[in-house]
Amino acid sequence: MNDTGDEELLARYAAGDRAAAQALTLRLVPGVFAHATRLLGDRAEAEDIAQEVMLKLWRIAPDWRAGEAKVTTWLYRVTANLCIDRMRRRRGHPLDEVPEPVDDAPSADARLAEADRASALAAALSELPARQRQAVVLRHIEGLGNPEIARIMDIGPRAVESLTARGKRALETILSGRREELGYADTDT
Amino acid sequence: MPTRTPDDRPDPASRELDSCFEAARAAPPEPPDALLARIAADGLAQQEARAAARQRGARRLPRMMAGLRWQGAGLAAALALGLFIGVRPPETLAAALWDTGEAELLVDPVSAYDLAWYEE
Repeated sequence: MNDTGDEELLARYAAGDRAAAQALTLRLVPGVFAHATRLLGDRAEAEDIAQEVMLKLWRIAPDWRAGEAKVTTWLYRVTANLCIDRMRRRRGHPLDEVPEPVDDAPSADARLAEADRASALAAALSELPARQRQAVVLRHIEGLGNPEIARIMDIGPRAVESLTARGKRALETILSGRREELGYADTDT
Repeated sequence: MPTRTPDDRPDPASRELDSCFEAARAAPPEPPDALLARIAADGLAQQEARAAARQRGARRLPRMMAGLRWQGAGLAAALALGLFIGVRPPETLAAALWDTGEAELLVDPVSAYDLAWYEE
């Protein structure tokens, strides 16, 4: 089933093919879960979101209109909407509650490992407004093009450019306070 | 792929951010196996619920069709009777329908005409 398209698999699932349910789960859930984790910065909440998104997909499968939208585009959109709802609900919680990157007090001259940079980025992302965060994650981590991001976010490509540019500038500012900690102090030249 | 000269290299802050993005791409958060199992189970449960609903619908269909057949037969019978009555009304029915006018016809005007002849 590896070479079968998402839409074809979804149609097989809707027709009662049990193997298609398994194949769709293995293929689509990692992306949904990763996207939700990056937007929320919380694995437990991302699990809830991933399950909810996939439940919506299982339910909509018999009515899926082939050729109208990519399954992945639909998934990104639903995932982001549910995540943004969660972020709005928990707004008002102080930023201190946002998960901080792991800091195991590395030696002064040791560079942090790649995982620590990813962790620092996750913490910095959580300080961005929801839509900026979504645009930056889709563009620079998921690697999507602006037209697809525009479809997912239901905005124009120029608005996507503006959101990603502002998001990147904000991230640079946030991370600049941690340059030494991230092992960048000697890379200015 | 375009080559970058030292002059148009991104500034350090941008390079650092790019390396953070690279790190994030290299280590995507992996879903736990338990989550995958729960989601696949949800998918199968939805499939089974739809199949059960289809079966219930399939069982109801013959009963609905039988009901419709009886209703259809009754309607056809009523139509046939209506048509028959319209084309060739039975005498008793016609009598019941046109009974009131008959007596007046016997009196007027023929009876008055006959009476005049008798008087002459």
